[in-house]
Amino acid sequence: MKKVFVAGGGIGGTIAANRLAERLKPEVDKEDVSITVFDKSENHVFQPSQLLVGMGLENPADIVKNERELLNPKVRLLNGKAGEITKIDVQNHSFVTSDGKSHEYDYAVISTGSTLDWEMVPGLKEEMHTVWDMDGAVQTRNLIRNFTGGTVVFNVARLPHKCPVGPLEETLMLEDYLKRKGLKEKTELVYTYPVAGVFGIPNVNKVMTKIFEQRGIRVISPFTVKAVDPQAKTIESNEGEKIKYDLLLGVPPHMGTKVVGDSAIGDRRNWIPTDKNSLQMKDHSNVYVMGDTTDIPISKAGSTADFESYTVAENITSEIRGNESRKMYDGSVFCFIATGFDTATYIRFNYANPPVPPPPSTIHWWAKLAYNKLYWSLTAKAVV
Amino acid sequence: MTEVSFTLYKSIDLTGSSCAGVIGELSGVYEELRQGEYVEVLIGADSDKKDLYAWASRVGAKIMKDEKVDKGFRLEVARPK
Ligand SMILES: Cc1cc2nc3c(=O)[nH]c(=O)nc-3n(C[C@H](O)[C@H](O)[C@H](O)COP(=O)(O)OP(=O)(O)OC[C@H]3O[C@@H](n4cnc5c(N)ncnc54)[C@H](O)[C@@H]3O)c2cc1C
Repeated sequence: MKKVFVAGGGIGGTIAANRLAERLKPEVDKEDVSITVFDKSENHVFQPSQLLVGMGLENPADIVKNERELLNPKVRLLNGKAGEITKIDVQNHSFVTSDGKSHEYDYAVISTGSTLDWEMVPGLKEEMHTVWDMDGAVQTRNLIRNFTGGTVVFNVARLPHKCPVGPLEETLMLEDYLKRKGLKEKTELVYTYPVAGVFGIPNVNKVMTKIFEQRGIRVISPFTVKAVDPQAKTIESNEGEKIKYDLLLGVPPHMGTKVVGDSAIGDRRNWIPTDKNSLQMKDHSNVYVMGDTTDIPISKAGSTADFESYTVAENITSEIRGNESRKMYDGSVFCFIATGFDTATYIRFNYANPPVPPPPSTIHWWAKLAYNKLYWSLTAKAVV
Repeated sequence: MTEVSFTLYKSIDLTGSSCAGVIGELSGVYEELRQGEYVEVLIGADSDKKDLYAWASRVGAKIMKDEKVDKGFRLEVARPK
């Protein structure tokens, strides 16, 4: 029997496991192939909706589901200590789990996501409120509800981070909220970003910078945060700026997961060296890497993981069946960008074709909400 | 004067579109570099090269090599200190 292991049952791992189960149905039914997902948690959080939780538009309970319910019944799931991987041994083709067991695989898919590296910047953890984790999203919602005016600084600490368009969305939604609440005149909104402008892709930067200007949001960039002083309530950059804030929101530095570091299979930030087209781990052709975990210079986004899952599932299927055909990932990404509480735009691009966002509209806003809702029944289950 | 020799940390291909952009991706990797190491960077456009030089002078990175290759340009960006 060929064993396919999936490390991580988040967005990437769940979609990949379901797509594999569907592609390899005859082999799985005959028990010639088994697919197993390992995750320390039994819950699956749809992280994109944490932004909506932070803005008070979604309940935390509605963005979490039981992982078992999302997986094809033929996919095995290991949770808790049995599912928490402590070592990925790519030399010996095995996972070691917290319960002390070692499991051998023929093919591995690594999609363990990213973590927040609060320690990188002194003072950041005490002061920054972030929707990039679930507790932070709830905290942000409460703080915004009770906010009565002052200086709000939004800071992106480092690149890359997951959901690259998220900072644009949170800032523009907050501006819209303040306007609706009659607090705009009493508030200065400051956006700080590590590279010049408000976003890394020139076309998108141009469009979004104009929107920020029209909405009266002050931009200070490049701004690479050096330290936050919780007493003085100031945020300071390597470039020499120091800003006083009343409320500090933002995105902490990201890195790959601990298990990648402990297994010595990543770079210094625990991103795994990955071929940008085949998605195979460099020098380990039976290991595929997807989602936030790769070191590929591409958006760390759920949509990226979804597009990548076609390549991963197709190529493992071909290898198991002894076919020569291979599918290459072309760098496809699709992200909606909320520009307020009822408008959005989007970007769709790949390695070769940069995006041009269309003018914001309510249609794209409703499409964003619909996409989030359909995640559970369509995207996660790899129906599309 | 002694010649300092730099060692390669990693290579990154920034010829495709990426949300962080060339400078966003490169500055992330540059922070991982230790003194005396360099990163090999592939970029596609002339405008990216201009941005890269401006960024390098701002952060004190040393551009050790800059050559034309099939896909665009190949640069070696080092951290001298
Ligand atoms: C606020 C916010 C808004 C976002 N908005 C969007 C959006 O609009 N569009 C979009 O496309 N993306 C968006 N994203 C990004 C998206 O959520 C991530 O890029 C995506 O979840 C990455 O998928 P993944 O499979 O790589 O990692 P994850 O979904 O994070 O899954 C990783 C899984 O691995 C498990 N794991 C980790 N370590 C271990 C271990 N040692 N053993 C076992 N299991 C382990 C974790 O428990 C987790 O279940 C957003 C993210 C945030 C935070």
